[in-house]
Amino acid sequence: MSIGGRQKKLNDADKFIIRKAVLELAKKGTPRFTSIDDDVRTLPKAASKAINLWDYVTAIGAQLSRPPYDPYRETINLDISIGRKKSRKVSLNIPLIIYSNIAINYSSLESVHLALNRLAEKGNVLGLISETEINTTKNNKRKYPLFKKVPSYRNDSVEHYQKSCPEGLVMEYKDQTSLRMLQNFRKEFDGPILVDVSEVFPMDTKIILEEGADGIIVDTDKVTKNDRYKGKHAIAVIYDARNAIKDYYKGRDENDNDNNATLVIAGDVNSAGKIIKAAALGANVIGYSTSMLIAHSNMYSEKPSNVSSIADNIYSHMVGTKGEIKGIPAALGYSDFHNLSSSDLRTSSIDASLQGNIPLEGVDRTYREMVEEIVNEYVNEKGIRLNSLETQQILRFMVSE
Amino acid sequence: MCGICAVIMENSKKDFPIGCILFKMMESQQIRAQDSTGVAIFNNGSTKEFYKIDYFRKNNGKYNPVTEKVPPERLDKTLYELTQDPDIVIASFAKEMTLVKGIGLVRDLEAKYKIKSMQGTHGIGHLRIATSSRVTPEHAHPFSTIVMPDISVVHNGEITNYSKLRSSLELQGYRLFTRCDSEVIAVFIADQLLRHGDIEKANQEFIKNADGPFTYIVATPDSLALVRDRFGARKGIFGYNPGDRNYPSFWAMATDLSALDSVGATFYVETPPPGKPKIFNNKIMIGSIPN
Repeated sequence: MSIGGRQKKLNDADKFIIRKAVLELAKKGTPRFTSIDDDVRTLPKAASKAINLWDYVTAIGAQLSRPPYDPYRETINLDISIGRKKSRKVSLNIPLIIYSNIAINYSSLESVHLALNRLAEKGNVLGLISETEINTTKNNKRKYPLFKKVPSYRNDSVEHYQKSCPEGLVMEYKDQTSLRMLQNFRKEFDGPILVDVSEVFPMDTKIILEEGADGIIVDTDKVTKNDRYKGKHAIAVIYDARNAIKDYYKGRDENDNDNNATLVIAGDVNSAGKIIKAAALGANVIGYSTSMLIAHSNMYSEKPSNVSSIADNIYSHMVGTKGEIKGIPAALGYSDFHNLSSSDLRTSSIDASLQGNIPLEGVDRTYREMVEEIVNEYVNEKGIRLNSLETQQILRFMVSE
Repeated sequence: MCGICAVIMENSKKDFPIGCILFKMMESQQIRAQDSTGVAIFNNGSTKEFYKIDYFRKNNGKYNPVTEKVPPERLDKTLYELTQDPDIVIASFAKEMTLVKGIGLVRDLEAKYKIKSMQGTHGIGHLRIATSSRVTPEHAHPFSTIVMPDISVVHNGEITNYSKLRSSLELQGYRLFTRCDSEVIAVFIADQLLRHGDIEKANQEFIKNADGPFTYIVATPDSLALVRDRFGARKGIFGYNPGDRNYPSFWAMATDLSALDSVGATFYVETPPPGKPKIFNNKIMIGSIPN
């Protein structure tokens, strides 16, 4: 849009209104009777949706007693291996898996392939989740782990997916049929199997892990569209997903050394800041969407795009992202990315505190803990006797859950 | 800025009041920290037939220390009952260890518990300046655990991934009583000892799993271990006093060199390499540097 000869960048609301006006015109064939301004006035829902709780979450930096590490001198570990006790392990040097959430054209996928190969050559191994096969030549063999996507609507045998020699499989979980498929695949495939539970989350996580899945993938964009998570943010989804895995391990035999179910968070996590916050809330690996990766990589590019130049941009973007996700834990006093926890975060939002169990700024306690303290003080003062169930009911009422 | 120290007598000599060595070392490091103090002293070979549980009972914001002597047959029941009471914080679970701690300076601890006259084979001491949890008697060091008796830990620094370690220990069913990161060390080491009984391996596992800058000393009935994080971000030194006709020989360890100076442990002064636990036990030969 050009105003006074200058380019104005459209925001989401502008785009929405223009798109709506064009669609209306196309559908009815008659001009609008109301102005675009009227649409803006009737946009409270869009405005409230725009409140992004990620922006209200910050990380507490290193302090006197907890000095920052120097990521250039001291090794900050990002490595992670995917695969539980009985599976073959797949190791990543950066806790990211490129996740083809939507169909992308072949040349874009080829760019991703080239970039991941170059990254792997430099010791930065990332994973790729993809349904589409990439034709590799002798000189261009895959050097990174591939997690082959198994669509829920297909009924192919595991041999079909093993043709491309993937290091892992990703299955979509929808119902009992998916569960049977998982059981069959588990018997035949010795590599890690990740199960995308976004359609049913938070149901059935325990069963899926019991049937031998090596981890779950939760797409926060998909889950927050479910009725169960209406009005909730990605923060709540990540927190619940971590708790679902914790619940699975609760009370299990501590000596079986099986505590390695991986939580892959995809969807709304597409910048270094969000990666750090998601990891602190419990994500082990981030599913970085292919579309977002290509968009980010080409955002400031002035080169004409082709497979090779996009691959260059993806490579540079990932190297930059690696630097950021190493630097932030170091600044928080960690030598290992995977040691981040929600106690490193603070929020100024009661919503974020409730949804992600994040301590509030200034008081260093979660909103729930503060309410609990007030309830306990009141109950003690009045000499009221409550059992734990009754206390929980009052708490739920007080925090409007 | 906390100060830690420890002493272990050579050849398990136990009739010497090692409390006075600890007192001297703590006083010389008092400038580092003034919030609270504590010591744990071990009397190796004690044949006490009961367990000793020290705990704080919270009452209207005050902490009243209570000691309970429990025969083995009542141990499980007593521990269960104590852990069910939200107003009770267990400070020490011991068979042969004496653990005392409180708010104030080391001279306040001496006035209250007469630590200078405490005899034993080895012991640890701590001076605390609070950085991450409250200044209350329950948060003073040394930390003990109910996972197994006679484990105590003093710590200087911060375990930055404390929440993660704590939640994984809680997931295994262990009970922690305070919000202090140092308590996690005691429970973690006890858990490891239950698994394989090897104190060196237990500490190596902790170094592998813990993040942040730290030095700690863990005491068991027959050993002391001085442990620094893998980057060596916090200091910790040890030295040897060869003794004389009237004074027994011992190894001492501390945060500051001044503490070793104050008790004459100025021979073989060294710092353990980062990430490599230094284990001392009662069977050390005179003048030898322990492996």
